[in-house]
Amino acid sequence: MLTTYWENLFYFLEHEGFMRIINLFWYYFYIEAPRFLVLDVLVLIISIIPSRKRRLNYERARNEFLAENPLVSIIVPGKNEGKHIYKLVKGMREQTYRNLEFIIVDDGSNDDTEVICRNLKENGLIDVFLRNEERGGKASAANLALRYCKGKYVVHVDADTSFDRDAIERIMIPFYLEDNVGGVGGNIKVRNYDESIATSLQAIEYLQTISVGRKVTSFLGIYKIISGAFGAFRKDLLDRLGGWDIGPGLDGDITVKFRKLGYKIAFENKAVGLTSAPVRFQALSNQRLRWSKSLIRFRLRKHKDVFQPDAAFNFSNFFALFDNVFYNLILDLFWWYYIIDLVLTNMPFLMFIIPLKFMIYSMGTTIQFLVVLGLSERWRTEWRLMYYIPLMMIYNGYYMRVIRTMAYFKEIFWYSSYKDAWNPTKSSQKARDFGL
Amino acid sequence: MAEFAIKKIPNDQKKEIGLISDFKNTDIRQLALYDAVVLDYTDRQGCEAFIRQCRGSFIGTLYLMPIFILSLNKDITKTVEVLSDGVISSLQVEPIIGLIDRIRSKQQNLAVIDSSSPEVRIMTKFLRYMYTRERKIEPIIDPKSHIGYSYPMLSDHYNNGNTVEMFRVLDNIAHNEYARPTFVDKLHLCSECYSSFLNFRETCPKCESLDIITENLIHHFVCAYVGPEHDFISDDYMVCPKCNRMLRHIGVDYDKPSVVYNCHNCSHIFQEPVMEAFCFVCQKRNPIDALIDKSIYSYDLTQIGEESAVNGFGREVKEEFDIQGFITFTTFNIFLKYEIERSKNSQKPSAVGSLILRISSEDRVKMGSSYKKLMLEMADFIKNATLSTDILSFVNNTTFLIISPNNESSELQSLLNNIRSSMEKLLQSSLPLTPFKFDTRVISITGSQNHTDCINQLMAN
Repeated sequence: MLTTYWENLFYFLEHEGFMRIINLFWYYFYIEAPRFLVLDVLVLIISIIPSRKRRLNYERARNEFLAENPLVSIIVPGKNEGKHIYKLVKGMREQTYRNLEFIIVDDGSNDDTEVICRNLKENGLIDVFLRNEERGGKASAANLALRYCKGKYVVHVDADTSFDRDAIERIMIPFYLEDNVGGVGGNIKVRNYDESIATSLQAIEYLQTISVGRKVTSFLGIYKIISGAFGAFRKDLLDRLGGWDIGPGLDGDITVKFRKLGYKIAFENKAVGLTSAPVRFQALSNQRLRWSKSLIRFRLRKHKDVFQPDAAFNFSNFFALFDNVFYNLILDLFWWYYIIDLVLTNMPFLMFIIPLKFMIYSMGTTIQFLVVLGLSERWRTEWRLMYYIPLMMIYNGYYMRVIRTMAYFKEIFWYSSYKDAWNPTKSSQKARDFGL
Repeated sequence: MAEFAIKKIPNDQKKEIGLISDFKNTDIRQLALYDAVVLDYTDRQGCEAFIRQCRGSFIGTLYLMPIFILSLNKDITKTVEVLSDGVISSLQVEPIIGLIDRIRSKQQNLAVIDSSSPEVRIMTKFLRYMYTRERKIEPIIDPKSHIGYSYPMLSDHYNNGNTVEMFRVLDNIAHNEYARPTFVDKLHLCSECYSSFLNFRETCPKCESLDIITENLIHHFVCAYVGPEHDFISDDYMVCPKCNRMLRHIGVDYDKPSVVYNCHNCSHIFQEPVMEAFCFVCQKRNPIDALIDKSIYSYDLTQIGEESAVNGFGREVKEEFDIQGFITFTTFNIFLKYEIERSKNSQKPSAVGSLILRISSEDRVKMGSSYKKLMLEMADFIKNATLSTDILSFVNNTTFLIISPNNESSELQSLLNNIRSSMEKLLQSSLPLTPFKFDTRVISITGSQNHTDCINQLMAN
């Protein structure tokens, strides 16, 4: 019976022909592969070609930065993050760059965070600790830290992120590599990649979408989100903007605001921070629902002016957001048409199409992953994640699409991000009233 | 002239009751001739000074003299009220005769006590006054006192610098169950001079400056801007510096999630200022946790106290022994202070320790002179077991104190343990039926300690 299946499969491939197969999986070959696979490979090639000019420029920028030795304020806003703070602070003391100011804002925690932080402050491990008795949301906590920090640059980090020893130094250098850089995103990887299948899959996803994906968008000048877990900003520009606006999705929002001011946003993949990813799929789903809603709320609603051809129109900003909206929203919705059409019109051949699709997708993902390894400083440990590549089609191709589609509908029709418990009601209500 | 300063008040019972109006020209020694005296309160200051002089004396007939105050409106100071035996509004003395008789009859029970120890004399006075007056001794609020309270019969013997000595006497009275303490108040005292004249103030945790200001934080809901109140003030309105919207309604537009302190000296931002207590007397800046907590009590005479008041402490039993080679407690304090100072500059180790015999007061009274004999034997043993450079003192008839210069605390602890085991054997053979135990404590001397704290730790119950 198995022999018959293989015979039939080869007959199907022979009978359909190469172009027929390409056309059958047009969504992947015409849309996904050029954008994600081809560009990744190109960026890898460009990155690994030795460039004396690039190396010298990097050395110059590093020397300039170290000679100036600016004060860098590390701000950590959060609620009930006390358990992570000690590790974070100890890790920060290992940084190669030393002129740091450490500010923690406790946004109305109801656990031991206050006690822990006050103790760390008394022991001189934290420079400033501020606590809001009334919870105001992450943006307000970050803004409070911003109000009292003194550094020339501000690095926003999440409390559960840990950093390579040179992470702060590395994330600062792009400010000195080019003029007009307003913010730099750090490279976020998954620390607990071996804790569950969910974290292993997220680890691959982070490597593809952040470590490589953001390098690509940064290379193309359309990088549009500095992760809240690890991002550096010029303090004077943050002051001009008045800091962060109400989230969820405040990290993407502030990045767009920087771009609108006319400043460049860079990504530094060598500035590495490790974060804890949700261990269970339920928690992961909730997180991604929240993230995906912000695409509608911020890209399509709040910053819709980026798409308007007026005096302030900027091509780079347009493409940055268009790329995001086109690939993540429009094509995501279009995919449903594609998949339904594929199934309905090829019903008798599904037994051949499904494994074929699986094989093609896995090959693409493998190539992408090899690019990741080629650019990674941790490839010796990360290559083991390859065992999970076969699952990536289900994870990226189906699971994430379903989550995203749910999020878009919830946000488009019910404005559900304004009801998210992530923010206090008093703030969400006002944001809704004022269309923010 | 002094002979005429006291006028006799005639009365039916033929008591010798004198009236004193001219305090400047009255010699208190003359009071010994009277059964009681009445002080004219017209000269308030003179009257108060005079009664304090009487009660401050160590002569029994003077400090126990029945003294009444003549005041028409009975408006007298608390000190005078406490030190006197009553207030009368006329020279009709018949109502007070009974009281005078009671005091005098109790006075007649008192045995003669001959002691040169100031502490014993003060304790005797304290107990005898309570015994003859059948009333408790209560502290009175006294702004002029170092600690804010004074014990009228006691405080005049200790100037403000010697508050620690006064507390030691009171603790001794309570510890030996001569009087039963009843809690009145709790004091926080300067760790340097025992003064309660303290200014509690907030300081910057970074530079200790007092020049700090506090301000409310404001959170503007719409744009998530958070900053101090002055960021928002614009003329008479509150306007958000980020989005220029007017803040109209607390709880709707904005809230005040917390406060921040800003140091004008070092620009440090913080939310928890460090509290300190500045002493107006010695000008020490005390951290709050370094303040000395001291409870103030009123005292009721106990049966043991009454017996001691009547018969004395039994010089051979209660009075502090004068043991050759053992210095007084006051001198020991001075040596300890110097030793702490010395250790600041010297790297050599040094330790101070105590060996306390825990035995009930009743048992000590029962043992009579044999107790002193036992203590002398113990003292002799300790003297021989310690080095000639060690400084020894014997306090409260129960406590041996030792400063051991150039010795580690562990060495002193081991020495005290050896002494204790020998002492236990000695006492078990001498007093087979009497319950007792020994406590030893050792503190390593470092330059940062306060000698009073060390003593308190060594002698704590």
